[in-house]
Amino acid sequence: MIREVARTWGEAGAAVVYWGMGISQHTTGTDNARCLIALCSITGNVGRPGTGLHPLRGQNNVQGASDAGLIPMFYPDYQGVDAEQTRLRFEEAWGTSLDPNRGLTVTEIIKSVLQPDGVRGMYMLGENPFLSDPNINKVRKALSALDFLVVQDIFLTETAEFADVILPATSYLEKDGTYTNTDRRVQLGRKVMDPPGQARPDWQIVQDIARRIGLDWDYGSPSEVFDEMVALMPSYKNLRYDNLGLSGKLYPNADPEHSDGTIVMFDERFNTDDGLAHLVPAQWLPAKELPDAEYPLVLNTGRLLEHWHTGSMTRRSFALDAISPVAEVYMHPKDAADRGLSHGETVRVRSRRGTIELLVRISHREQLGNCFIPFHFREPRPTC
Amino acid sequence: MHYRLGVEMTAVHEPATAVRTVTADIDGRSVTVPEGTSIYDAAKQVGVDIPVLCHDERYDPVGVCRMCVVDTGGRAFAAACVRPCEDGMQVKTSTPELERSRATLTELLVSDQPPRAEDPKDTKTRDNLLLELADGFGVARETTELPCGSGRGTDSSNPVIDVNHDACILCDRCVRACDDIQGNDVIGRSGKGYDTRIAFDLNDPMGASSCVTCGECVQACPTGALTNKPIRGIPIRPREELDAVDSVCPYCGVGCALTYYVDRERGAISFAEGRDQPGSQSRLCVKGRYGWDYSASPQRLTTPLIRIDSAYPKGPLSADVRGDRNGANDRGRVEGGERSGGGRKPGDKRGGKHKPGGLVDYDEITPYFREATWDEALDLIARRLREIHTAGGPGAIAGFGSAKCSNEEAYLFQKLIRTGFGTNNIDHCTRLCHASSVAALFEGVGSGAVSTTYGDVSNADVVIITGSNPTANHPVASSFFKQARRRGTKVIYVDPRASTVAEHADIFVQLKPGTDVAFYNALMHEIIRLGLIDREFIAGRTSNYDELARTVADYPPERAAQITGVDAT
Repeated sequence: MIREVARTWGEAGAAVVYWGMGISQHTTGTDNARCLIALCSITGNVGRPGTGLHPLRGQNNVQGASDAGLIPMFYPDYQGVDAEQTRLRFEEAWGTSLDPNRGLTVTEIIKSVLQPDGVRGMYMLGENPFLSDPNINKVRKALSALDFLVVQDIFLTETAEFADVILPATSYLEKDGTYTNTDRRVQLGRKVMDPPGQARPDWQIVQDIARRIGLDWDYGSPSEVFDEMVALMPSYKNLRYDNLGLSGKLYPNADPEHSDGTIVMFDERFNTDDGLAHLVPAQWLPAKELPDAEYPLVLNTGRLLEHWHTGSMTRRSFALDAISPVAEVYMHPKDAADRGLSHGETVRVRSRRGTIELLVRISHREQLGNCFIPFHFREPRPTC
Repeated sequence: MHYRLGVEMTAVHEPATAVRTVTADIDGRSVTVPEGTSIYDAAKQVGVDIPVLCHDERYDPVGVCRMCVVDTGGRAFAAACVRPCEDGMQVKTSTPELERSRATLTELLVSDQPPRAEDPKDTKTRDNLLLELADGFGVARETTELPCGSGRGTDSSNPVIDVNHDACILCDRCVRACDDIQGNDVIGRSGKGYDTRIAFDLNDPMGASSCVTCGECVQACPTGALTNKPIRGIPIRPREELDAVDSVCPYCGVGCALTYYVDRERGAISFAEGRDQPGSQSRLCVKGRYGWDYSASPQRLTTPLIRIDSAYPKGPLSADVRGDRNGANDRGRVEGGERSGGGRKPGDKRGGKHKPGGLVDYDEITPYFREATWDEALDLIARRLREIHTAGGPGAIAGFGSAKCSNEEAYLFQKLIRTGFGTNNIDHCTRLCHASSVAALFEGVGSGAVSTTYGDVSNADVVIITGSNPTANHPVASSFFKQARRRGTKVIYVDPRASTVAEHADIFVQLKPGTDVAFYNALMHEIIRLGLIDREFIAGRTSNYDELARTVADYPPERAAQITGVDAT
């Protein structure tokens, strides 16, 4: 089969690869992606229609949040915080001096809280690390140890239990803004209804806090913010809040008034300094943790069609919860039979990190020796 | 950083040969169209509207309803949606005889429909195409002398879609929507003659079938056969009585364009519908079409909350988060529970209402917080964060943003942390998902963004989908993958799990988890051995090929087979 795939790919006039978390969420995630880049590059499958590299983005605005600079080593548009010229440009644009060092990542921040001279105060905007972080026990300890925690969200989350202050934000449906999808399409999300009670849009809350700590912000609308950020983001050049239109625009885009934008990138050169694709070989390494006599099965996690991440939205949706109400562990028929388990029965699943109880689902989709648990359901918490 | 602007076109495989044209006469108007153009499409070009029921431009025509028949001077009338124009063809789209035929057909169909007062579409969105035609011809179930009623029954087993077989005219729009557009292959026909009806899988109830409730069939149906059910009691009403808000789905990275129809009197969404946009082409999945009511949950936070003094020292408040409640039989779904700040006291725990499936139990948490004004909460936040910043320096502050918030919110949040607290301690959950991909992409091609769109799959001869379950995670993108395959693109699916995508793959490679590098190195090994590399591209557009080749030389398929569990040959 390996030979068949190699020949099929090698003989294709145009070939493209789409990948997801099953490539990236490994101890060798970067190597996995390097292989895909190399596979496309050595067969000339980048830069022409029907060819290329597409990591399918999960969240509606994972691309945009990254583009906009929610990354400890990058300013907006992936401009490195440790490049002096870049920093000076942003200091000029923002009218203040900036930290010349890279910041800490999500996992490093959690670790840092448990260390002396680490992070003491945190502001979490719409994030629920208690459920989404891989190691729940560590997160529990870290969140308890924080001197001050602000949680801003639309529902009470597990993380909010550790908060000093909880701020009610508007949901997606109650505010205007732009969102960038997996294709690089920047689209307008429009306010559908008024927020409940005193809930307020996140951007207004952030601005209020900025003013209270002495920043002279005075944004009147998301469009003002968008136009300011685009001026600092070469990739978004030419886009304006008022030229995105009804169907949004792909970036890069030379002429948004007349063009939907660029579908295929790298048709003549890559974005690297020398314009070439850098092939990086990778040696296969076994996963850091492997099954043994005590833990004989591999656990894969993932999503179900009807649910989304920690379920805070979908499990409050009548339709989605009605269609898919319970957490199950999907097992190969033989793995279940070997353990005397039958469909619909409650089982205890134990990993090196914790124990959960949930229902068995006999599934023809699993490999022998593998089981699958979706990560949307709070009560079993398969990531712990 | 500067991007060179790349390619904007999509179609590439069209042969460059000149397309032959034909010239026909439609109702006295001359029209020249490419050979193969249907009479219906040609007529449209010269402003002649031909009535249709089974035809919709989104689907391949099937010519089953005969409403669009026209007179081409032939022995029998021709269905305009499927009959191609011919050179010199004389077409009449409206003659007394044609109108009589259409009126009779309409009367036959309408006589089997449910009574108008009970018609599922007429009583909801009121856009029943058949009833509109019937009104035009002056025929109705209520006045016809034909026998009435089909007795084929209803099916309300799906939580959000009503099926009324009596209202079905067997136009097959839903079949094409399900098969050709979404690629789900659930709907077909069962039965014979007068008892023929649409069927889900092997004539199962819709709710028990393999239907994924994308609602594409509802969007396709011209009659009351497939309609949305009201969600949370908000009635579905005609579009003109509702406020249409064009927006984008809030769930996954595909970002489908949609329109929310809002009932302003009730302050709630009545229903949602796909909207045209180059990427999503009016398609939606179950989350986008039916999953918007979370925002109306009574559990929404509605006022700022401050932790009460007795809730210090801090720690987890609920048994679940403390980790001392064990599991599956003891979990709470508290939909409809109290709003924040309900007057319960710490320690006053209520038990016994937990059942499988659940969210945070508000009753366990809200007693430890009190309601506050915005001013009080914001002042406290500013004071405490400033104190910590002063005492511990910039590194003592950190922010987690969200990939669900808008670009503007992400930008302002990082700007606040960077300019207000002088630290780059700002991150979000991408760290846990695609950061490794982005690192490899930056190193390899200098940009973390995708090099092409998911829709560009239509131009590919071969696609590898790997480590991904797009039928669940990116359902509308997966519909384009499935559609490309029906048009000849070879789909190779590489994944440890046989997700639904495997059923749509030409080759399914079920490798062992964590063996991807070995598998792809072996592919490259074999591609190099067979001389299937692109030498010109490697020489002109890549660096470090020799080292890559040396590395993959150690991965013959036989070795990779041992590691991955995938056969070498």
